[in-house]
Formats: sequence, structure tokens, C-alpha cells
Amino acid sequence: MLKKLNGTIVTHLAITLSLNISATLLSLLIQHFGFTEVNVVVIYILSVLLTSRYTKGYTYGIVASVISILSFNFFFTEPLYTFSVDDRNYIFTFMVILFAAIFTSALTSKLIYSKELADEREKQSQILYEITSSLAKTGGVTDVATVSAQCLSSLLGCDTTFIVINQKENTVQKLTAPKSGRGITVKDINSEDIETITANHYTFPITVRGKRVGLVCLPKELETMTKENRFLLDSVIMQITIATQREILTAEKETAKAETERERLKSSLLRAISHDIRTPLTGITGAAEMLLQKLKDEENIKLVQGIFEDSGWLIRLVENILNLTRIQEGHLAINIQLEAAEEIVAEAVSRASKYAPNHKISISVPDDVLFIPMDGKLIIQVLINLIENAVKHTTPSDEINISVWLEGRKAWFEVSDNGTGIDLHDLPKLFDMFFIARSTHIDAERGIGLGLAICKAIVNFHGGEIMVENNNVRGSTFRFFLNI
Amino acid sequence: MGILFLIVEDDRKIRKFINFSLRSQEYDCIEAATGKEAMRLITTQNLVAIILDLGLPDMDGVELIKQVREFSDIPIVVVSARDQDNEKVEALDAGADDYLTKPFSIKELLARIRVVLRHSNDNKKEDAPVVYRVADLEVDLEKHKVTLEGKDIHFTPMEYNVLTLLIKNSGKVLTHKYILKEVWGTYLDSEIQSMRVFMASIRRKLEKNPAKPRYILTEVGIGYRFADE
Repeated sequence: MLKKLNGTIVTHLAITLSLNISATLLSLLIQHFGFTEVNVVVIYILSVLLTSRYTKGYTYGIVASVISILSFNFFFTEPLYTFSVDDRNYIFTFMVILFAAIFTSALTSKLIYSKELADEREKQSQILYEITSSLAKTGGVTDVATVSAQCLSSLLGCDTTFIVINQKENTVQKLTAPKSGRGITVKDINSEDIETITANHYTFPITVRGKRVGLVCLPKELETMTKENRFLLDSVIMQITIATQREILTAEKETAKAETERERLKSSLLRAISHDIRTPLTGITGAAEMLLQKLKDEENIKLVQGIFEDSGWLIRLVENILNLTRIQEGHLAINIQLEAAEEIVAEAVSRASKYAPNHKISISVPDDVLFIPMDGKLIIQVLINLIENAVKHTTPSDEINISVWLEGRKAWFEVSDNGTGIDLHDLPKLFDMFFIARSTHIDAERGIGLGLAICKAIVNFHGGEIMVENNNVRGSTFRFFLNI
Repeated sequence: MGILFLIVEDDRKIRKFINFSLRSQEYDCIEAATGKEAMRLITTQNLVAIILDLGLPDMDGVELIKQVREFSDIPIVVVSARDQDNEKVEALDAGADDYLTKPFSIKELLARIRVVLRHSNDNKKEDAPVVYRVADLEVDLEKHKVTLEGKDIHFTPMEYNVLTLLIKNSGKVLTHKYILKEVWGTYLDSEIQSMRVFMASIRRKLEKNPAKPRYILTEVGIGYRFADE
């Protein structure tokens, strides 16, 4: 370091002296050809100017001007070849040379300094730009790490290590870019080794959403660096963090997308099957109905009645499955609108009573029309399922009551019957998928335990809750609320 | 030549079922499995009504309705699945007279057909009645008077207009859009809600229990129907 400094001083002194000697020689030459002294003065000023330009700081400029004055005095003023001055005019000339020299050298050195600064800044932004643009082309966190390590190693001229911490898969990778060349070495390491590596290096953590996802490790010596370099390094680290964050978020989005795609495929499959089942079922129901009109024999009528009822039941099941797939598909398939509670209940009752024409269903709704945001078809499905469940637990002589009322911001729907009620053991599991109540008597219509589970799914999707309890005397009550 | 129906349906079993239902009422039927064939029959045969499945293999059912409506007022009853509400509404707005949701029973089909036949006869007579009587309800269009079980009921002019529109088309489903256009003169989605409030208030004046309507039935997601039977 010191040697280098000495070297510069020697060089600069050499420049100063040689320019002065050249000026003196040139002056002697032009004097010989009979030019006036004024030209000599100008040549000396020029030499001082050149000195300032090609040396650092303004010390050399001042030194050069002093030497120039002395040389001018020695070679060109009477008495010649002495440092004494006869004509007082020359004192004034010396002063002018001195001031001109100091002024110009201060100016030039300042100019040189700002140019150097600008050059430095430009170089920094060039480096930053290169790093940013190569990071922009990366795909995947490992790629980001590779590019970052290589860029840093060529920028700082040292070995650079990038440790990639994958928290999801619990793996740690160590990528090292050597000082020389563009190669990179990749090594899987244990998470315990991270501490030892960070202890021996000047380390910058890369953090995404509060989680440490990577570490940039530089040689310890770099801990002391200039403010400019430090600033540059910080900017580079920032760029690396942004790139890593981008890659992690993209990866997460991809995973989420793949998952929804899978879900969608599943429910589209289910829906396609349901659709295809529905068409022949409609045919079967229709054919059975035609036969019912034609047949006269009591026994045959009973058989066909069975076909008719069962195919109707299957159609309702398919309807339920189709609604379930809509819930699973989420917001896109669901159409939330304001619906009048009375209209929804009326539709549900009129459809449900097609299958239970003998049951009496009484309804009570509030005096003021109640508009509730919901997917009307889905809530109709909930009510139909609850009514069917009530029908299953009652005989036509029992009562089924449906009521709707408003309580604060909640609209309550209730389906209550005075039938057989529900086995106490079954109550907690009633809304589970594929649960079939044990108390169901042998003759009862079959179930695969979907109806109530779908009710729960639909109500929960609307932000409401569904519950059931046995009545004090007989039967049970299902109720659910929707938010207004 | 009896009363001749056209059944346009690509599913053979459902076609047979509709055919059977109609024949049981002594109606005659011809069948078409594609839209093209249907168009040929509509233009060549003297039909009374068309029963049309919206999901045809060769053309959009709604498109077929539009084409037919360019030259004929023949009643059209649309048949479709429950999850095709939008298509139903489109079909009704394009000029279909009514709809049926699969699976439907013989009873439902015949009820719809009776309504469309009656309306097409009414239109031919051109002297629409002045007083409508349905069960306990009586609406006198000349005197602007509505009585239920003999008692006068007061309606605001707007409510009265909605009620008369419904009762003139009793048995037929009227879409939200149709009612808005006829009564309010405009069609904006935002107005559907205010129309529903009107409906609720009319219902409260007519019905003993608005959730068990006798007169004004709601077709959820589609519109309203005045029950006449």
C-alpha cells in the first residue's frame, strides 16, 4: 500500500518536473527566435495547467507554479541566471502566474474528482443492471442462487457461497462460485453445518416473509470496505432477495394452481358422471310412469311403483351430488343473490311434497318480506333434504313445521317434526359425510348419508351454521341460519 | 286432422315418454330428433304446439325459437335440465311460452300444454275477457276492481298493473325481464329487486300464507306464474 503511494508521488513529481523542463526548453527556443517574454509567460502557465491535469490533487499544481516562477526568474529576467529581480514589473508577473496556476489546478482537480465519481457510479449501476437483468432471467430458487453467487464472485473478486434453505422439504444446498472461472459447485449439506459456515464468513441472510430462505457468504476480510462498495453490495443483496421472493411466490402459486386443477378435475368428473346418470334415469322414471297409467294388475302396479319411486330417489341423489360439486368448485359456480325467504321455502316445499304427497307441511314466515343473500338453488336443496329427512322420520299423520324468522343479523330457518326423533348417539355425527343413522327402521328408504352432509356444506359455505336437537316430547328440530 | 304436436328431443326415451303422454289425451304427435328436421316439419306441417328440448345435437334451441318466431306464433314449451336456468330464461325471452324441468311427470306436462293451448285459443278470439275469476279472486279490468272472497282489496296503480299482467297470462311463466318491460317500460338488472318487493306486497294482500301461495307462484331464478287451476 505504502509502496504504491510512493510510486504515485514519484510519477507525479516526474510529470511535474518534465513538464517544467519542457516549458523552459521551449521558452529558450522561442526566445532564441526573437519572440517576446509574454509568450514565455503563457508557455509556463500552460505547463502548470497540464501539470494539474495529469496529476492528482492541487499540490503538484502549486509546486509546478512555484518552479515555473523560479525558472522564469532564473532563465529569462535580468540579471540572467540569478534569482534576483531588477525590474519590479516581474514581481507582478510572478503573482499572476502563481494565482493562475493555483486557480486552474484547483478547478481541474475538482473536475477530475467529479468525473471519477461519476465513472464510479456508472460502473456501479452497470454492475447492478447486469445482476438485475441476469436475475430476471432465472427460473427457480437454485437458479437465482447460482446467478447471484457467480455475479458476486466476479464483482468482488472472491469466492462466494450461497446457501439455499428449503424449509418445506427441509433440505439445505451449498452453492460455491470460485474467484476464478465461471463454474459452480453444488453440495447438499446438513442444516447443522449452516452455523459453522456463517461463523467463518461475512454473511447476509435472504429473508422472505420473515423466513430465512438463503444465506450469502463472503470472505471475512470483506467486512471492512468503503462506503460506496458497501452500498453497492447492499443493493445487490436487495436484488437477490427480490428475485428469491419472486421465485418462491411463483412456485407457491404453481402448486396452488395444480391443486385447484386437480380438485376441478375431480368435481368435473363427478359432475359428468352425474349428468350421464340423470339422462337414463329420466327415461326410466318416465317409462315407469307410463306403465303405471297402463297397468291394471294390482301386483304389477306395485312393482312398477317401486321402480318409479326408486328412480325418483336416484334422481334426487344425483341432484344432491351435482350441488355438492358446485360447492366444491367454490365461488365461480355459486351465484349469491338476494332471495325472498318465502319464495325459497315455497319452492322447496312444493318440490319436496311431490315425493311425499300425503304429508302435511305447515309453514310460517315473517310478516315483512325477508330478503337474504344466498344461492337460491342450494338453499332450496338444503330445505328439501331437511324436509325429506323429516318425512323419513314421520308418518303422514305427524306434523312437519317449517318456520323462518329474523334474529339480529341472522335469518333462521327451522324444520321441525314430531316423528320418531334421532338416536342420542347419532346426534353428533349426523352431519358427517356417509353417516347413516342407526335408528332408521328397516323399512325406511335407504340413504348413503349424503343429504345432511350436503346441507352442512351448503350452509357453511354461506357463512351460516346448521344444528339439530331432539324435541322435548317427540321428534326433532333442524335449524340453520344465514347472515344478512 | 286432430290436434298435432311436434316433439323435438334428441333422447329417444324421453321423446317416447312425451309422445305417450300426449297420445293418452288423444293428441297426435310427430317427432324430430334434430333442429334441422324440426324446422322442416314446422314449415310443412299444420302444428298446434311444439315441445322443444333445448339441448339439440345440431343447433341451439334458443336459436331455433328465434327462427320460428320470425314467421309463427305457434306455442312452444321448452324442456331442459334443472341446472340450465339461464338457457330457460333466454328461451322464454326469445319467445318460448313455457318450460318444463327434467324430470317431469305426465301430469306436469299435460298441465303446461293445457295452458298454452288455452292461451293460443284466447289470442285467436281476440276478445279478451273483462273480468277474471280465479278461485276466490275476481279482477275486473273495466272497473279496476280487485275482490277477494267478495271483499275489496286496494292496490297501488303499479301493483295493479303487475297483477293484471300476471292474471292475463295466468298459467304462463313470465320472466323478470318481461314483467319489467311490460310494467316499468325499462329493463335494468337493478330493478329486479324492486319488482320482487312489489310481488311480496301483492302476495301479502292476496295470500293467506305468502310461503304457501295460492295465486302467485315463484319460479326461482326465472320469474313468476299466476296459478289458475
